[in-house]
Amino acid sequence: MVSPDPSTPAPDANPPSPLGPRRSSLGWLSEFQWAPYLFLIPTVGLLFVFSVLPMIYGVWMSLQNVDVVRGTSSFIGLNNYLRLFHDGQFGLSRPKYRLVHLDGGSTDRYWQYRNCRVFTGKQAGAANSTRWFYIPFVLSPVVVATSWKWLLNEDLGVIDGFLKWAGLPTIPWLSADLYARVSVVIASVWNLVGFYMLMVLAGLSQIGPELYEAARIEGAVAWQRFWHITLPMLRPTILLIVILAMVHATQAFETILLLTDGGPGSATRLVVQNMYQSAFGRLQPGYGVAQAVVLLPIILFVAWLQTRIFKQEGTI
Amino acid sequence: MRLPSCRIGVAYDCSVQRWSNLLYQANGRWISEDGKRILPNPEAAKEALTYFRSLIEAKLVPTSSWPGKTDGGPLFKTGVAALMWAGNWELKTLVEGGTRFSFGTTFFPKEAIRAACPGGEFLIGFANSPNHEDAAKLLLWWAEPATTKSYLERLGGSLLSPMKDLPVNYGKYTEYLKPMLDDLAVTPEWVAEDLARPELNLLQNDLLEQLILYSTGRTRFEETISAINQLGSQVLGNNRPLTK
Repeated sequence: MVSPDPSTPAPDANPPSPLGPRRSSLGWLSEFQWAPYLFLIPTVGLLFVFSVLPMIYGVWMSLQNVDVVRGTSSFIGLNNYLRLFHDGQFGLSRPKYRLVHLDGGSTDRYWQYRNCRVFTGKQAGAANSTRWFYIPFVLSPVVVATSWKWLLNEDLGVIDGFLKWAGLPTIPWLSADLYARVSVVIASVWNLVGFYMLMVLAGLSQIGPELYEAARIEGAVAWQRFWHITLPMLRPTILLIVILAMVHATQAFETILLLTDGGPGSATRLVVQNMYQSAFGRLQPGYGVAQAVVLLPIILFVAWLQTRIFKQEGTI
Repeated sequence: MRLPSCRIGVAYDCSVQRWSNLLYQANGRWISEDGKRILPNPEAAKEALTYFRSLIEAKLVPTSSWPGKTDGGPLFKTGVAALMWAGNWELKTLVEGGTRFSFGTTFFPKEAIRAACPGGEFLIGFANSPNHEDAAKLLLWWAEPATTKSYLERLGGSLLSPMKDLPVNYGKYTEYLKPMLDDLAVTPEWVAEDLARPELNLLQNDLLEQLILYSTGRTRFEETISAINQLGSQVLGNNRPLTK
Protein backbone atom coordinates (compact mmCIF):
# COMPACT_ATOMS: atom_id res chain seq x y z
CA MET A 1 0.00 0.00 0.00
CA VAL A 2 1.44 3.44 -0.90
CA SER A 3 1.00 6.34 1.52
CA PRO A 4 0.59 9.85 0.14
CA ASP A 5 3.64 12.14 0.20
CA PRO A 6 3.04 14.87 2.84
CA SER A 7 5.24 17.32 0.83
CA THR A 8 2.92 17.04 -2.23
CA PRO A 9 0.06 19.56 -2.07
CA ALA A 10 -3.40 17.97 -1.88
CA PRO A 11 -5.33 18.12 -5.17
CA ASP A 12 -7.95 20.87 -5.40
CA ALA A 13 -11.39 19.50 -4.73
CA ASN A 14 -12.87 21.78 -7.45
CA PRO A 15 -10.23 22.25 -10.18
CA PRO A 16 -10.94 25.08 -12.70
CA SER A 17 -12.45 23.78 -15.96
CA PRO A 18 -10.35 24.29 -19.10
CA LEU A 19 -13.60 25.52 -20.77
CA GLY A 20 -14.01 28.31 -18.25
CA PRO A 21 -16.38 28.59 -15.31
CA ARG A 22 -18.72 25.59 -14.93
CA ARG A 23 -22.36 26.14 -15.88
CA SER A 24 -25.38 24.81 -14.02
CA SER A 25 -26.86 21.53 -15.41
CA LEU A 26 -29.84 23.38 -17.03
CA GLY A 27 -27.78 26.21 -18.45
CA TRP A 28 -28.01 24.81 -21.98
CA LEU A 29 -31.73 25.49 -21.94
CA SER A 30 -31.17 29.23 -21.89
CA GLU A 31 -28.63 29.04 -24.71
CA PHE A 32 -30.57 26.61 -26.95
CA GLN A 33 -31.87 28.05 -30.23
CA TRP A 34 -35.62 27.63 -29.60
CA ALA A 35 -36.94 29.94 -32.28
CA PRO A 36 -36.85 27.54 -35.27
CA TYR A 37 -38.54 24.79 -33.29
CA LEU A 38 -41.23 27.12 -32.00
CA PHE A 39 -42.01 28.16 -35.55
CA LEU A 40 -42.35 24.52 -36.52
CA ILE A 41 -44.79 23.66 -33.74
CA PRO A 42 -48.02 24.71 -35.52
CA THR A 43 -47.18 22.78 -38.70
CA VAL A 44 -45.88 19.70 -36.91
CA GLY A 45 -48.82 19.86 -34.51
CA LEU A 46 -51.36 19.95 -37.33
CA LEU A 47 -49.52 17.19 -39.15
CA PHE A 48 -49.53 15.09 -36.00
CA VAL A 49 -53.21 15.67 -35.24
CA PHE A 50 -54.53 15.25 -38.79
CA SER A 51 -52.08 12.73 -40.26
CA VAL A 52 -50.06 10.81 -37.67
CA LEU A 53 -52.81 10.30 -35.08
CA PRO A 54 -55.39 9.11 -37.66
CA MET A 55 -52.76 6.73 -39.04
CA ILE A 56 -52.09 5.27 -35.61
CA TYR A 57 -55.81 5.12 -34.93
CA GLY A 58 -56.30 3.44 -38.32
CA VAL A 59 -53.80 0.72 -37.54
CA TRP A 60 -55.50 0.15 -34.19
CA MET A 61 -58.88 0.07 -35.93
CA SER A 62 -57.64 -2.53 -38.41
CA LEU A 63 -57.15 -4.87 -35.46
CA GLN A 64 -60.74 -4.42 -34.31
CA ASN A 65 -64.13 -5.64 -35.40
CA VAL A 66 -66.01 -2.35 -35.33
CA ASP A 67 -69.78 -2.51 -35.26
CA VAL A 68 -70.84 0.93 -36.42
CA VAL A 69 -74.55 0.34 -35.92
CA ARG A 70 -74.22 -0.78 -32.31
CA GLY A 71 -71.26 1.45 -31.51
CA THR A 72 -69.13 -1.43 -30.22
CA SER A 73 -65.75 -2.87 -31.15
CA SER A 74 -63.80 -5.95 -30.18
CA PHE A 75 -60.13 -6.85 -30.64
CA ILE A 76 -59.67 -9.51 -33.32
CA GLY A 77 -55.91 -9.35 -33.83
CA LEU A 78 -54.81 -9.93 -37.41
CA ASN A 79 -58.12 -11.42 -38.58
CA ASN A 80 -58.86 -8.51 -40.92
CA TYR A 81 -55.50 -9.02 -42.61
CA LEU A 82 -55.96 -12.78 -42.83
CA ARG A 83 -59.36 -12.16 -44.39
CA LEU A 84 -57.69 -10.24 -47.22
CA PHE A 85 -56.07 -13.46 -48.41
CA HIS A 86 -59.50 -14.98 -48.97
CA ASP A 87 -61.18 -11.89 -50.36
CA GLY A 88 -61.79 -12.42 -54.05
CA GLN A 89 -62.55 -8.73 -54.56
CA PHE A 90 -59.25 -7.59 -53.07
CA GLY A 91 -57.35 -10.30 -54.90
CA LEU A 92 -59.06 -9.51 -58.17
CA SER A 93 -58.59 -5.80 -57.83
CA ARG A 94 -54.79 -5.96 -57.86
CA PRO A 95 -54.25 -7.30 -61.39
CA LYS A 96 -56.98 -4.95 -62.63
CA TYR A 97 -55.01 -2.11 -61.09
CA ARG A 98 -52.22 -2.83 -63.47
CA LEU A 99 -54.54 -3.38 -66.42
CA VAL A 100 -56.56 -0.21 -66.01
CA HIS A 101 -54.02 2.22 -64.73
CA LEU A 102 -50.82 1.19 -66.28
CA ASP A 103 -52.67 1.08 -69.58
CA GLY A 104 -53.90 4.55 -68.74
CA GLY A 105 -50.39 5.64 -67.83
CA SER A 106 -48.81 4.40 -71.05
CA THR A 107 -51.63 5.87 -73.14
CA ASP A 108 -51.15 9.12 -71.24
CA ARG A 109 -47.47 9.21 -72.02
CA TYR A 110 -48.00 8.46 -75.70
CA TRP A 111 -50.48 11.31 -76.08
CA GLN A 112 -48.38 13.67 -74.03
CA TYR A 113 -45.50 13.07 -76.37
CA ARG A 114 -47.62 13.36 -79.53
CA ASN A 115 -49.17 16.57 -78.30
CA CYS A 116 -45.87 18.01 -77.22
CA ARG A 117 -44.29 17.35 -80.59
CA VAL A 118 -47.11 19.37 -82.08
CA PHE A 119 -46.88 22.16 -79.57
CA THR A 120 -43.12 22.54 -79.69
CA GLY A 121 -43.47 23.00 -83.42
CA LYS A 122 -44.13 26.35 -85.00
CA GLN A 123 -47.77 25.74 -85.83
CA ALA A 124 -49.99 28.75 -85.47
CA GLY A 125 -52.08 28.76 -82.31
CA ALA A 126 -49.90 26.17 -80.61
CA ALA A 127 -49.84 28.12 -77.34
CA ASN A 128 -53.61 28.43 -77.30
CA SER A 129 -53.98 24.72 -77.98
CA THR A 130 -51.76 23.93 -74.98
CA ARG A 131 -54.20 25.86 -72.83
CA TRP A 132 -57.15 23.86 -74.17
CA PHE A 133 -55.40 20.59 -73.40
CA TYR A 134 -54.78 21.73 -69.83
CA ILE A 135 -58.43 22.60 -69.14
CA PRO A 136 -59.60 19.02 -68.38
CA PHE A 137 -57.00 18.82 -65.60
CA VAL A 138 -58.52 21.76 -63.72
CA LEU A 139 -62.02 20.26 -63.95
CA SER A 140 -63.38 18.46 -60.93
CA PRO A 141 -63.33 14.65 -61.28
CA VAL A 142 -67.10 14.75 -60.73
CA VAL A 143 -67.53 16.92 -63.83
CA VAL A 144 -65.14 14.71 -65.82
CA ALA A 145 -66.91 11.48 -64.85
CA THR A 146 -70.42 12.84 -65.35
CA SER A 147 -69.56 14.27 -68.76
CA TRP A 148 -68.00 11.04 -69.95
CA LYS A 149 -70.85 9.01 -68.51
CA TRP A 150 -73.28 10.86 -70.76
CA LEU A 151 -70.97 10.84 -73.74
CA LEU A 152 -70.49 7.10 -73.46
CA ASN A 153 -74.10 6.24 -72.67
CA GLU A 154 -75.30 3.54 -75.03
CA ASP A 155 -78.77 4.89 -75.57
CA LEU A 156 -78.46 8.65 -75.20
CA GLY A 157 -74.72 9.24 -75.63
CA VAL A 158 -73.13 11.28 -78.41
CA ILE A 159 -70.50 8.70 -79.31
CA ASP A 160 -72.87 5.78 -79.80
CA GLY A 161 -75.35 8.18 -81.38
CA PHE A 162 -72.74 9.03 -83.98
CA LEU A 163 -72.00 5.33 -84.57
CA LYS A 164 -75.71 4.67 -85.08
CA TRP A 165 -75.96 7.62 -87.49
CA ALA A 166 -73.01 6.21 -89.43
CA GLY A 167 -74.67 2.81 -89.59
CA LEU A 168 -72.05 1.20 -87.37
CA PRO A 169 -72.70 -1.13 -84.45
CA THR A 170 -72.84 0.63 -81.08
CA ILE A 171 -70.34 -0.11 -78.35
CA PRO A 172 -71.43 -1.04 -74.81
CA TRP A 173 -68.94 1.38 -73.28
CA LEU A 174 -70.07 1.09 -69.70
CA SER A 175 -71.78 -2.28 -69.59
CA ALA A 176 -69.18 -4.71 -70.98
CA ASP A 177 -66.11 -5.53 -68.89
CA LEU A 178 -63.46 -4.71 -71.46
CA TYR A 179 -65.12 -1.54 -72.77
CA ALA A 180 -65.81 -0.33 -69.24
CA ARG A 181 -62.07 -0.58 -68.51
CA VAL A 182 -61.31 1.20 -71.76
CA SER A 183 -63.81 3.93 -70.82
CA VAL A 184 -62.11 4.44 -67.47
CA VAL A 185 -58.76 4.73 -69.25
CA ILE A 186 -60.17 7.21 -71.79
CA ALA A 187 -61.70 9.43 -69.10
CA SER A 188 -58.54 9.30 -66.96
CA VAL A 189 -56.24 10.06 -69.89
CA TRP A 190 -58.43 12.95 -71.02
CA ASN A 191 -58.39 14.30 -67.48
CA LEU A 192 -54.64 14.07 -66.89
CA VAL A 193 -52.97 14.31 -70.27
CA GLY A 194 -52.75 18.11 -70.14
CA PHE A 195 -50.88 18.12 -66.84
CA TYR A 196 -48.33 15.53 -67.89
CA MET A 197 -48.08 17.15 -71.30
CA LEU A 198 -46.85 20.37 -69.72
CA MET A 199 -44.12 18.41 -67.97
CA VAL A 200 -43.04 16.78 -71.21
CA LEU A 201 -43.21 20.15 -72.91
CA ALA A 202 -40.87 21.58 -70.28
CA GLY A 203 -38.55 18.60 -70.80
CA LEU A 204 -38.55 19.05 -74.57
CA SER A 205 -37.73 22.73 -74.27
CA GLN A 206 -34.56 21.78 -72.36
CA ILE A 207 -33.18 19.79 -75.31
CA GLY A 208 -30.83 22.01 -77.27
CA PRO A 209 -31.60 22.42 -80.99
CA GLU A 210 -27.89 22.00 -81.72
CA LEU A 211 -28.19 18.31 -80.84
CA TYR A 212 -30.82 17.80 -83.52
CA GLU A 213 -28.85 19.90 -85.94
CA ALA A 214 -25.73 17.82 -85.37
CA ALA A 215 -27.72 14.63 -85.78
CA ARG A 216 -29.19 15.90 -89.05
CA ILE A 217 -25.72 16.71 -90.33
CA GLU A 218 -24.66 13.18 -89.41
CA GLY A 219 -27.60 11.90 -91.46
CA ALA A 220 -29.90 10.75 -88.62
CA VAL A 221 -33.49 10.27 -89.72
CA ALA A 222 -36.50 11.28 -87.60
CA TRP A 223 -36.85 8.05 -85.63
CA GLN A 224 -33.11 7.95 -84.92
CA ARG A 225 -33.22 11.53 -83.62
CA PHE A 226 -36.15 10.52 -81.42
CA TRP A 227 -34.50 7.31 -80.19
CA HIS A 228 -31.01 8.67 -79.59
CA ILE A 229 -31.72 12.26 -78.55
CA THR A 230 -35.29 13.00 -77.51
CA LEU A 231 -35.98 9.86 -75.51
CA PRO A 232 -32.71 9.82 -73.49
CA MET A 233 -33.01 13.55 -72.78
CA LEU A 234 -36.60 13.14 -71.65
CA ARG A 235 -35.82 10.18 -69.43
CA PRO A 236 -35.95 12.04 -66.07
CA THR A 237 -39.25 13.68 -67.04
CA ILE A 238 -40.74 10.38 -68.17
CA LEU A 239 -39.61 8.71 -64.94
CA LEU A 240 -41.25 11.44 -62.91
CA ILE A 241 -44.46 11.05 -64.89
CA VAL A 242 -44.40 7.28 -64.42
CA ILE A 243 -44.10 7.70 -60.67
CA LEU A 244 -46.80 10.38 -60.55
CA ALA A 245 -49.09 8.23 -62.68
CA MET A 246 -48.54 5.29 -60.35
CA VAL A 247 -49.29 7.41 -57.31
CA HIS A 248 -52.39 8.68 -59.07
CA ALA A 249 -53.40 5.10 -59.81
CA THR A 250 -53.30 4.23 -56.12
CA GLN A 251 -55.61 7.18 -55.43
CA ALA A 252 -58.01 6.70 -58.38
CA PHE A 253 -61.47 6.90 -56.92
CA GLU A 254 -63.96 9.60 -57.90
CA THR A 255 -63.85 9.15 -61.67
CA ILE A 256 -64.37 5.39 -61.47
CA LEU A 257 -67.00 5.64 -58.75
CA LEU A 258 -69.10 8.03 -60.81
CA LEU A 259 -68.41 6.58 -64.24
CA THR A 260 -68.88 2.87 -63.63
CA ASP A 261 -69.28 2.50 -59.86
CA GLY A 262 -66.70 -0.26 -60.13
CA GLY A 263 -68.91 -2.17 -62.56
CA PRO A 264 -70.19 -3.88 -64.50
CA GLY A 265 -70.04 -6.40 -61.69
CA SER A 266 -66.59 -5.65 -60.32
CA ALA A 267 -64.78 -5.17 -63.64
CA THR A 268 -63.44 -1.72 -62.83
CA ARG A 269 -63.31 -1.94 -59.06
CA LEU A 270 -59.86 -1.02 -57.80
CA VAL A 271 -58.32 -1.19 -54.35
CA VAL A 272 -59.58 2.20 -53.20
CA GLN A 273 -63.16 1.40 -54.28
CA ASN A 274 -62.87 -1.85 -52.40
CA MET A 275 -61.75 0.02 -49.28
CA TYR A 276 -64.59 2.50 -49.62
CA GLN A 277 -67.10 -0.27 -50.14
CA SER A 278 -65.86 -2.20 -47.09
CA ALA A 279 -65.74 0.83 -44.82
CA PHE A 280 -68.85 2.73 -45.89
CA GLY A 281 -70.97 0.23 -47.84
CA ARG A 282 -70.69 -2.82 -45.60
CA LEU A 283 -69.87 -0.64 -42.56
CA GLN A 284 -66.71 -2.62 -41.75
CA PRO A 285 -64.22 0.20 -41.13
CA GLY A 286 -61.67 -2.14 -39.55
CA TYR A 287 -61.49 -4.25 -42.68
CA GLY A 288 -61.38 -1.17 -44.90
CA VAL A 289 -58.45 0.26 -42.94
CA ALA A 290 -56.65 -3.11 -43.06
CA GLN A 291 -56.68 -2.84 -46.86
CA ALA A 292 -55.26 0.67 -46.60
CA VAL A 293 -52.52 -0.58 -44.29
CA VAL A 294 -51.62 -3.29 -46.81
CA LEU A 295 -51.55 -0.67 -49.57
CA LEU A 296 -49.20 1.56 -47.57
CA PRO A 297 -45.99 -0.50 -48.09
CA ILE A 298 -46.77 -0.71 -51.80
CA ILE A 299 -46.93 3.09 -52.04
CA LEU A 300 -43.81 3.38 -49.88
CA PHE A 301 -42.04 0.98 -52.23
CA VAL A 302 -43.02 3.13 -55.21
CA ALA A 303 -41.71 6.22 -53.41
CA TRP A 304 -38.46 4.43 -52.54
CA LEU A 305 -38.09 3.27 -56.13
CA GLN A 306 -38.62 6.83 -57.30
CA THR A 307 -35.87 8.15 -55.02
CA ARG A 308 -33.50 5.37 -56.01
CA ILE A 309 -34.05 5.87 -59.75
CA PHE A 310 -33.68 9.64 -59.48
CA LYS A 311 -30.47 9.21 -57.50
CA GLN A 312 -29.10 6.92 -60.19
CA GLU A 313 -30.15 9.41 -62.83
CA GLY A 314 -28.50 12.19 -60.87
CA THR A 315 -31.75 14.13 -60.88
CA ILE A 316 -31.61 14.56 -57.09
CA MET B 1 -89.49 18.98 -81.21
CA ARG B 2 -90.06 15.51 -82.62
CA LEU B 3 -89.48 12.70 -80.15
CA PRO B 4 -87.15 9.89 -81.17
CA SER B 5 -88.81 6.56 -81.75
CA CYS B 6 -88.90 4.17 -78.80
CA ARG B 7 -86.11 1.71 -79.13
CA ILE B 8 -86.01 0.36 -75.59
CA GLY B 9 -88.62 -1.73 -73.83
CA VAL B 10 -88.12 -1.01 -70.14
CA ALA B 11 -85.77 1.46 -68.49
CA TYR B 12 -85.21 -0.53 -65.31
CA ASP B 13 -83.40 1.08 -62.37
CA CYS B 14 -80.26 -0.84 -61.51
CA SER B 15 -80.79 -1.30 -57.79
CA VAL B 16 -81.44 -4.08 -55.32
CA GLN B 17 -84.73 -2.46 -54.32
CA ARG B 18 -86.05 -2.46 -57.87
CA TRP B 19 -85.13 -6.09 -58.46
CA SER B 20 -86.65 -6.96 -55.08
CA ASN B 21 -90.07 -6.25 -56.62
CA LEU B 22 -89.72 -9.44 -58.61
CA LEU B 23 -88.53 -11.41 -55.59
CA TYR B 24 -91.45 -10.31 -53.44
CA GLN B 25 -93.99 -10.96 -56.16
CA ALA B 26 -92.60 -14.48 -56.46
CA ASN B 27 -93.37 -14.74 -52.72
CA GLY B 28 -89.70 -14.70 -51.80
CA ARG B 29 -87.84 -12.59 -49.27
CA TRP B 30 -84.27 -11.54 -48.71
CA ILE B 31 -83.84 -12.54 -45.10
CA SER B 32 -85.74 -15.19 -43.17
CA GLU B 33 -88.14 -14.12 -40.46
CA ASP B 34 -85.73 -15.24 -37.71
CA GLY B 35 -82.98 -13.17 -39.35
CA LYS B 36 -80.59 -16.10 -39.74
CA ARG B 37 -80.78 -17.05 -43.42
CA ILE B 38 -80.55 -15.16 -46.66
CA LEU B 39 -82.91 -15.98 -49.55
CA PRO B 40 -84.80 -18.59 -47.51
CA ASN B 41 -86.98 -19.43 -50.51
CA PRO B 42 -84.52 -20.27 -53.32
CA GLU B 43 -87.33 -21.26 -55.69
CA ALA B 44 -88.75 -17.74 -55.58
CA ALA B 45 -85.25 -16.34 -56.07
CA LYS B 46 -84.73 -18.59 -59.07
CA GLU B 47 -88.02 -17.50 -60.59
CA ALA B 48 -87.24 -13.81 -60.13
CA LEU B 49 -83.66 -14.14 -61.37
CA THR B 50 -84.64 -16.19 -64.41
CA TYR B 51 -87.44 -13.82 -65.38
CA PHE B 52 -85.21 -10.79 -65.09
CA ARG B 53 -82.42 -12.42 -67.05
CA SER B 54 -84.91 -13.22 -69.80
CA LEU B 55 -85.83 -9.51 -70.01
CA ILE B 56 -82.17 -8.60 -70.50
CA GLU B 57 -81.50 -11.42 -72.95
CA ALA B 58 -84.51 -10.34 -75.00
CA LYS B 59 -83.04 -6.79 -74.91
CA LEU B 60 -86.24 -5.46 -73.39
CA VAL B 61 -84.14 -4.03 -70.59
CA PRO B 62 -81.19 -2.23 -72.20
CA THR B 63 -77.67 -2.81 -70.93
CA SER B 64 -77.34 0.95 -70.43
CA SER B 65 -79.94 0.55 -67.67
CA TRP B 66 -78.78 -2.75 -66.30
CA PRO B 67 -75.85 -3.01 -65.63
CA GLY B 68 -75.06 0.44 -67.08
CA LYS B 69 -76.88 2.15 -64.18
CA THR B 70 -78.30 4.91 -66.35
CA ASP B 71 -81.12 6.61 -64.53
CA GLY B 72 -84.39 5.44 -66.06
CA GLY B 73 -85.90 8.94 -65.83
CA PRO B 74 -84.03 10.54 -68.77
CA LEU B 75 -84.46 7.42 -70.92
CA PHE B 76 -88.23 7.53 -70.47
CA LYS B 77 -88.56 11.29 -70.56
CA THR B 78 -86.75 11.57 -73.87
CA GLY B 79 -89.07 8.98 -75.37
CA VAL B 80 -86.28 6.46 -75.93
CA ALA B 81 -87.82 3.93 -73.52
CA ALA B 82 -91.43 2.80 -73.78
CA LEU B 83 -91.72 1.91 -70.10
CA MET B 84 -89.97 2.86 -66.92
CA TRP B 85 -89.80 0.57 -63.91
CA ALA B 86 -89.00 2.95 -61.10
CA GLY B 87 -90.09 4.33 -57.77
CA ASN B 88 -93.01 6.73 -57.46
CA TRP B 89 -90.68 9.65 -56.62
CA GLU B 90 -89.78 9.75 -60.32
CA LEU B 91 -93.28 11.10 -60.96
CA LYS B 92 -92.40 14.54 -59.70
CA THR B 93 -89.67 14.94 -62.31
CA LEU B 94 -91.87 13.61 -65.08
CA VAL B 95 -94.97 15.62 -64.26
CA GLU B 96 -93.34 18.88 -63.20
CA GLY B 97 -90.51 18.63 -65.69
CA GLY B 98 -93.02 18.81 -68.52
CA THR B 99 -92.81 15.47 -70.33
CA ARG B 100 -93.71 16.13 -73.94
CA PHE B 101 -96.13 13.21 -74.25
CA SER B 102 -98.98 11.85 -72.18
CA PHE B 103 -98.25 8.84 -70.03
CA GLY B 104 -99.87 6.76 -67.34
CA THR B 105 -98.97 4.39 -64.57
CA THR B 106 -99.93 0.78 -64.10
CA PHE B 107 -99.74 -2.09 -61.61
CA PHE B 108 -96.72 -4.28 -61.18
CA PRO B 109 -97.16 -7.59 -62.96
CA LYS B 110 -98.60 -10.01 -60.42
CA GLU B 111 -96.93 -13.34 -59.89
CA ALA B 112 -97.51 -15.47 -56.77
CA ILE B 113 -98.61 -12.42 -54.80
CA ARG B 114 -99.05 -8.70 -55.38
CA ALA B 115 -96.36 -6.66 -53.68
CA ALA B 116 -94.90 -3.20 -54.03
CA CYS B 117 -91.49 -2.31 -52.70
CA PRO B 118 -92.13 -0.02 -49.75
CA GLY B 119 -89.07 2.14 -49.25
CA GLY B 120 -89.29 5.70 -48.07
CA GLU B 121 -87.70 7.80 -45.41
CA PHE B 122 -86.80 6.67 -41.92
CA LEU B 123 -86.54 8.44 -38.62
CA ILE B 124 -84.37 6.58 -36.13
CA GLY B 125 -83.77 7.18 -32.45
CA PHE B 126 -80.80 5.54 -30.75
CA ALA B 127 -81.42 3.63 -27.54
CA ASN B 128 -78.42 5.02 -25.69
CA SER B 129 -78.76 8.57 -26.92
CA PRO B 130 -78.65 11.24 -24.19
CA ASN B 131 -81.77 12.68 -25.87
CA HIS B 132 -83.62 9.39 -25.82
CA GLU B 133 -86.85 10.82 -24.39
CA ASP B 134 -86.95 13.76 -26.78
CA ALA B 135 -86.25 11.45 -29.73
CA ALA B 136 -89.14 9.23 -28.64
CA LYS B 137 -91.47 12.26 -28.45
CA LEU B 138 -90.40 13.35 -31.94
CA LEU B 139 -91.02 9.86 -33.33
CA LEU B 140 -94.47 9.72 -31.77
CA TRP B 141 -95.32 13.16 -33.14
CA TRP B 142 -94.09 12.14 -36.56
CA ALA B 143 -96.20 8.98 -36.48
CA GLU B 144 -99.41 10.94 -35.80
CA PRO B 145 -101.75 10.70 -38.82
CA ALA B 146 -102.19 14.49 -39.00
CA THR B 147 -98.41 15.07 -39.22
CA THR B 148 -97.97 12.37 -41.84
CA LYS B 149 -100.89 13.72 -43.88
CA SER B 150 -99.61 17.28 -43.80
CA TYR B 151 -96.06 16.19 -44.73
CA LEU B 152 -97.17 13.99 -47.62
CA GLU B 153 -99.52 16.61 -49.05
CA ARG B 154 -96.77 19.21 -48.97
CA LEU B 155 -94.39 16.81 -50.74
CA GLY B 156 -96.83 16.11 -53.55
CA GLY B 157 -96.43 12.65 -55.00
CA SER B 158 -92.91 11.88 -53.84
CA LEU B 159 -93.95 9.61 -50.99
CA LEU B 160 -96.97 7.43 -50.36
CA SER B 161 -98.72 7.09 -47.05
CA PRO B 162 -97.73 4.03 -45.02
CA MET B 163 -101.09 4.30 -43.17
CA LYS B 164 -103.77 2.37 -45.00
CA ASP B 165 -106.77 4.33 -43.74
CA LEU B 166 -105.27 7.79 -43.96
CA PRO B 167 -106.90 9.91 -46.67
CA VAL B 168 -104.22 12.03 -48.32
CA ASN B 169 -104.84 14.53 -51.09
CA TYR B 170 -102.07 13.98 -53.63
CA GLY B 171 -103.43 16.71 -55.90
CA LYS B 172 -102.38 16.38 -59.52
CA TYR B 173 -100.59 13.12 -58.75
CA THR B 174 -103.73 11.34 -57.56
CA GLU B 175 -104.47 9.61 -60.84
CA TYR B 176 -100.87 8.52 -61.37
CA LEU B 177 -100.54 7.22 -57.83
CA LYS B 178 -103.72 5.15 -57.76
CA PRO B 179 -102.22 1.88 -59.09
CA MET B 180 -99.24 2.32 -56.78
CA LEU B 181 -101.45 2.93 -53.75
CA ASP B 182 -103.50 -0.13 -54.67
CA ASP B 183 -100.33 -2.23 -54.94
CA LEU B 184 -99.12 -0.86 -51.61
CA ALA B 185 -102.46 -1.55 -49.93
CA VAL B 186 -102.22 -5.28 -50.70
CA THR B 187 -98.49 -5.60 -50.00
CA PRO B 188 -97.93 -7.88 -46.99
CA GLU B 189 -96.33 -6.26 -43.95
CA TRP B 190 -93.41 -8.67 -44.00
CA VAL B 191 -92.26 -7.15 -47.27
CA ALA B 192 -91.69 -3.77 -45.63
CA GLU B 193 -90.00 -5.43 -42.64
CA ASP B 194 -87.73 -7.45 -44.93
CA LEU B 195 -86.71 -4.47 -47.02
CA ALA B 196 -86.03 -2.35 -43.95
CA ARG B 197 -83.56 -4.81 -42.41
CA PRO B 198 -80.21 -3.12 -41.80
CA GLU B 199 -78.36 -6.24 -42.96
CA LEU B 200 -79.86 -5.83 -46.41
CA ASN B 201 -78.65 -2.27 -46.51
CA LEU B 202 -75.14 -3.38 -45.56
CA LEU B 203 -75.08 -5.97 -48.31
CA GLN B 204 -76.81 -4.07 -51.06
CA ASN B 205 -73.75 -3.26 -53.17
CA ASP B 206 -72.52 -6.84 -53.00
CA LEU B 207 -75.97 -8.18 -53.77
CA LEU B 208 -76.34 -5.82 -56.70
CA GLU B 209 -73.05 -7.09 -58.07
CA GLN B 210 -74.30 -10.67 -57.87
CA LEU B 211 -77.59 -9.72 -59.54
CA ILE B 212 -75.68 -7.99 -62.34
CA LEU B 213 -73.36 -10.97 -62.82
CA TYR B 214 -76.29 -13.36 -63.11
CA SER B 215 -78.65 -11.23 -65.14
CA THR B 216 -75.99 -10.45 -67.73
CA GLY B 217 -75.08 -14.11 -68.08
CA ARG B 218 -71.70 -13.94 -66.38
CA THR B 219 -72.56 -16.50 -63.68
CA ARG B 220 -74.84 -19.49 -63.29
CA PHE B 221 -77.75 -19.63 -60.86
CA GLU B 222 -75.97 -21.98 -58.45
CA GLU B 223 -72.91 -19.72 -58.35
CA THR B 224 -75.08 -16.68 -57.67
CA ILE B 225 -76.99 -18.35 -54.86
CA SER B 226 -73.77 -19.68 -53.36
CA ALA B 227 -72.14 -16.24 -53.46
CA ILE B 228 -75.22 -14.59 -51.94
CA ASN B 229 -75.32 -17.25 -49.20
CA GLN B 230 -71.67 -16.57 -48.44
CA LEU B 231 -72.33 -12.84 -48.22
CA GLY B 232 -75.33 -13.48 -46.02
CA SER B 233 -73.41 -15.72 -43.67
CA GLN B 234 -70.83 -12.97 -43.10
CA VAL B 235 -73.47 -10.55 -41.91
CA LEU B 236 -76.11 -12.84 -40.45
CA GLY B 237 -73.71 -15.34 -38.85
CA ASN B 238 -73.42 -13.51 -35.57
CA ASN B 239 -76.76 -11.79 -35.88
CA ARG B 240 -77.94 -10.15 -32.71
CA PRO B 241 -81.17 -8.23 -32.31
CA LEU B 242 -80.77 -4.47 -32.22
CA THR B 243 -81.57 -2.86 -28.90
CA LYS B 244 -85.12 -1.55 -28.98
